[in-house]
Amino acid sequence: MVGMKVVPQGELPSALRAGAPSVSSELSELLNASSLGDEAAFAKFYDATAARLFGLVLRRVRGRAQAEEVTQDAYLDIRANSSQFDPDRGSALSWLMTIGHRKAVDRVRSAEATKRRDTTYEARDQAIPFDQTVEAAHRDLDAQRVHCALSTLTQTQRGALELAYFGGYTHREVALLLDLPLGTAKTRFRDALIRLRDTLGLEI
Amino acid sequence: MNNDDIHGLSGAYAVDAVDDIERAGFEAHLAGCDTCRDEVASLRAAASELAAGTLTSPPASLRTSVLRDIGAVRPLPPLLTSEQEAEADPVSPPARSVQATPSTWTPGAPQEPVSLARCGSGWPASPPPRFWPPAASCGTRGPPA
Repeated sequence: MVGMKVVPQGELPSALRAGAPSVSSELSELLNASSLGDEAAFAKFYDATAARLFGLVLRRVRGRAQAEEVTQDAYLDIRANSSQFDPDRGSALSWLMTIGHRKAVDRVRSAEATKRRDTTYEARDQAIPFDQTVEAAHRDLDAQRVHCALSTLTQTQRGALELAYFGGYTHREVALLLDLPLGTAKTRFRDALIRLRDTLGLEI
Repeated sequence: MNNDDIHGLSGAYAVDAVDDIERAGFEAHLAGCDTCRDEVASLRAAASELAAGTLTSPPASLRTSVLRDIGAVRPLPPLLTSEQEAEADPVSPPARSVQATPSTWTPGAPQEPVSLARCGSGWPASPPPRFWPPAASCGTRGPPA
């Protein structure tokens, strides 16, 4: 992406080492403190996670201004609902990314519903964007771990997953883009995510 | 959509690759399916890892803006579990949910809309999820492999 500043490895907040249980616990505690009105805790939560969420949103929506709006909206949602976070239902980072992803997808779908139809060729032409992820994956150990896990997927699984997660396409649209029988793309998502989950040791 | 089909939607749901109608249908299903609820949580965790390779620092102005605006956002009070509710008011039906009233509540202050159904899941979203009430296992599919 033109103009995108990727965080050098040396600058990564330690909390982005999402695979570490202690990090997950720390983020949960920050959210808990935030729910009690501790704004400093919320600031720490933001500092530990913002590069991850903003990177995702920036990839999903068009332009930095819109990415900033969506990212801010996600954090305000997190703030308002912080007392309802349940660590038994997943990590704080996963919670944040789920909310941010949904907001980014909603933004793009509502703003570009018509435009999407006109750019299907462009999307198809761009094919499968996961190579960008792979390229960036060498930047830190966490990403390296994900890169290795992605390599265990079939090409179709990876392509379908990337088109949905980063492209914001529905399973029906992914089926069309990848010439899969209608209704099978959703199975690819599930199979791919289960394999990723198991490879990364993310069982809830 | 038959029952088997709807279980298979967990992956698409986890990455928001569903349309609004499918989302509503699947969330209604989640209300009664512990297995799918657990699976979705774990698949979302896996999906969120996909973004590990795209770290990008937001501008400092965004941090300033977020931290300024959260001052105007009052964290919603926690939701009571049915057990807590029954303990507090033994005559109440245990399955009904109640929004806790914080001790610092200001009479007359406008209350923000409650954006979650009773759930205890901690997964707010917009529009709000319509799932996570007490649930029985769906039973037609075992835990994910």
